[in-house]
Amino acid sequence: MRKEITIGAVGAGGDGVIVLGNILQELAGNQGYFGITSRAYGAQIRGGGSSIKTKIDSEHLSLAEDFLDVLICFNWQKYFEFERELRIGEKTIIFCEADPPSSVQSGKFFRVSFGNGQNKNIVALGFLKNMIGLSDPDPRNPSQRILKNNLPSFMAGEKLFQEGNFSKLELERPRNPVPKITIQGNEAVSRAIIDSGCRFGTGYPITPSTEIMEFLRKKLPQLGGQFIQGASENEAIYILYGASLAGKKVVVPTSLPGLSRMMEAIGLFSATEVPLVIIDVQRCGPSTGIPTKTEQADLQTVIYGSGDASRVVLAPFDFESCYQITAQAFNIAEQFQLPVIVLSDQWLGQTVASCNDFTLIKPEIISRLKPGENEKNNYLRYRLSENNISPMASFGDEGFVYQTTGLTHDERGRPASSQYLQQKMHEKIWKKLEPLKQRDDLVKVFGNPEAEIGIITWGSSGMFVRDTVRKMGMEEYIKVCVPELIFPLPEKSIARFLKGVKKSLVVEMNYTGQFYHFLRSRLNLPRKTKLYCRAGGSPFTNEELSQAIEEAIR
Amino acid sequence: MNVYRTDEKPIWCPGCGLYGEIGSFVKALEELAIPNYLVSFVTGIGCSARAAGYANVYAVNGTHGESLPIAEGVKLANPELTVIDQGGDGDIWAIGAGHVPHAVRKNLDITLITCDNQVYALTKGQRSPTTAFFEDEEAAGGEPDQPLDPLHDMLAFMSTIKSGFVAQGISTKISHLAELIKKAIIYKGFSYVHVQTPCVTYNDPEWIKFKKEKAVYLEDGKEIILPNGEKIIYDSSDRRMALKITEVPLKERPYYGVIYQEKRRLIN
Repeated sequence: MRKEITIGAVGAGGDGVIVLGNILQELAGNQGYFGITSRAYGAQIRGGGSSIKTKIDSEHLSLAEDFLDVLICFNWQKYFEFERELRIGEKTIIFCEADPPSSVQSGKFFRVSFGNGQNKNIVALGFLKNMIGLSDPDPRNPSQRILKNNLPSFMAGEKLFQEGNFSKLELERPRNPVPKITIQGNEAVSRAIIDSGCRFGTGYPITPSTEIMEFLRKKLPQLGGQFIQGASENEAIYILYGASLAGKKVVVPTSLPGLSRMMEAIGLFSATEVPLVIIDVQRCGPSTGIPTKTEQADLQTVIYGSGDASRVVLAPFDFESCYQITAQAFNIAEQFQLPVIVLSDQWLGQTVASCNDFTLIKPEIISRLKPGENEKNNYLRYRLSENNISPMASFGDEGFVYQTTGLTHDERGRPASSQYLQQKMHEKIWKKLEPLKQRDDLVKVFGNPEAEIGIITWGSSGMFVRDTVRKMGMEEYIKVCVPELIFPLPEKSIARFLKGVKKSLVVEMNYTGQFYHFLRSRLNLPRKTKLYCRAGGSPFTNEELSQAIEEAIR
Repeated sequence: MNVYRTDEKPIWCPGCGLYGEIGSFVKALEELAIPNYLVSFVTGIGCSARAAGYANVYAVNGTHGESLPIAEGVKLANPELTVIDQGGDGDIWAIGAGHVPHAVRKNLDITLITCDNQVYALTKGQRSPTTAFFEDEEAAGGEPDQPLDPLHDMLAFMSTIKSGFVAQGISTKISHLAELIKKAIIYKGFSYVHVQTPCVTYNDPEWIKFKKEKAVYLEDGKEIILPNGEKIIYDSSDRRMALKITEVPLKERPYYGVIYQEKRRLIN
């Protein structure tokens, strides 16, 4: 009996590998297991190979091991596209339809025929179910309808395992057998959009954010809201500008190429103080890059793009954080009247997790400040106030007609070109953000607070770093800081984390160390601070991170 | 003071055609008696876009070429509002042209006004996509690009959805232009008003004079003679007849009036 298992599967497009991963995980999740399934596709979005790596854990949510326990290989040629994600070790048990090429030197392989039909993935599913000792699927569960319709294939797989006399890799019963929800980061974000009261979205299809757009397209009209697919990212974002002026909470999901097109609009939202939420699901760049693979290289673009435009940048680091941070994004956008960019990434967005249902606790909802009756017929849209936040009327409100412009403007919103107002309005759009820097709740700290080694990381790298520290058994000696609020940076909170830290390490997945340089521009890092960064293209492994940590503490 | 005008003094040159254009716009609103808070006026960048600061309605002076989607967003979010988008020939037909066919096919109840002076005037005299092509200019080393014809192109886009409203006026004829803008606002669906807007700084005075004096005014039921000699009794609900009008180049003969309107969308 074992507590956890890491299973990989690879095949050509059409072999149904992704479906195999999804159903396997849902099956385990319904029985109370935690799980994570990451997907990787070939260079082409359609037509290439595809692979999944599924971790099932009876105790808690944990990331997959570097080396697989089990590999189902439908196609060796495609395997080599994903060698790095699906590593074969000495103990890996491989079930394959053809003998592995001679370059595969490790692992123990068994030739198994999963059949020639379209259902070989379901056959493999039945096979795996018996191998790891899951209970029978519950046919009443709607998510397992696909099994009900393919029951003969599933049972053929179960039989295949039994008759082959293979040894079992049986999992312990889940510690807490409450069924888990099975959710992608993109879905967690989407559900938070709905639960935050947003009812107006636009989008333009772009991998790996498209799932969010599809969710909104389906869900918003059901709730009396609207979703508009733009003819371009420009159209998508500027429709939101009009809708937000007319009083709607608005959102658009995108990725770097689309985000780059939206940059001018971000300046307009900021200068004219209009609430907006952008969900940027980062992928490998620059330019088209590798659309299907993960990276964290959009940070500088969103922090520094569009001149001195004030904005807020948030970065969720795990699935629950995807939900909570997206909800925070709407509240911050509404309260401070500015663009908020949520930096997710392909790994977080498209990886499927089975975990406790974090969507049960609904977020608090904050809406923009509206002008009072006393301001009627005497309304200054950009009135300079103590907290620099001016009440915002919606287009159509009686008695508050105003004009707004991307030009520097006065309190009424009329164009102005004096140095005085240029300075004053900058102070307004920047100083209003000051209270945000005190949001300690948006800086997550893990591990022993007394530890003298500190790792600072952001986004999904936070999950990988924590997982590696735990697997290294170093939680007592290493603490980890993951700011979810990246800009404006809660400097005091991070300085507190660094107090007493003698050696530190910054970890992120981009070539130039964008977060590291940003941190250094804002606060003093310990003299012995190292940086581990590399271009994206595959998730971090425990091996590379533990090496980086060992070097940093040497 | 007029309820639809702010107290802001326009930055336009003395004698600019835009004074007449905003005058027509305000007259149309007055005559339709739409409360000013129910009007949204969206513009981009350029001389004509500055009008957003002079109209006392909810107004946006946004970014270059992006006013149409902003107007669409306002209308989608609050269908009760009367939404008018205004831009120049550069704003709408160069940098913003990609938005035009999509605005047509969405067919929201908004009005697009292009103030066409055939020049980038705010940046001091560069060629625009509607700058007229004259053989003598090319001979003198000018750019050989043919201008696009917004009326003809708009009618073509509208042909694909078999709907729409297209009119052309000149800003020096305020009452006539105000009537066109009123009809466009009343029309239920996407409507387009093209306004010949003289630029006193960069247009050749002869060209302005030509556009004023050689124009033919279209009226339903009135006979007109096309430059090829063909006589027609004008009917603005006849798209093929409208195409005959828009096929005549501006420099040959300007036509002012409602060129095309889909009848079933008109509500009195």
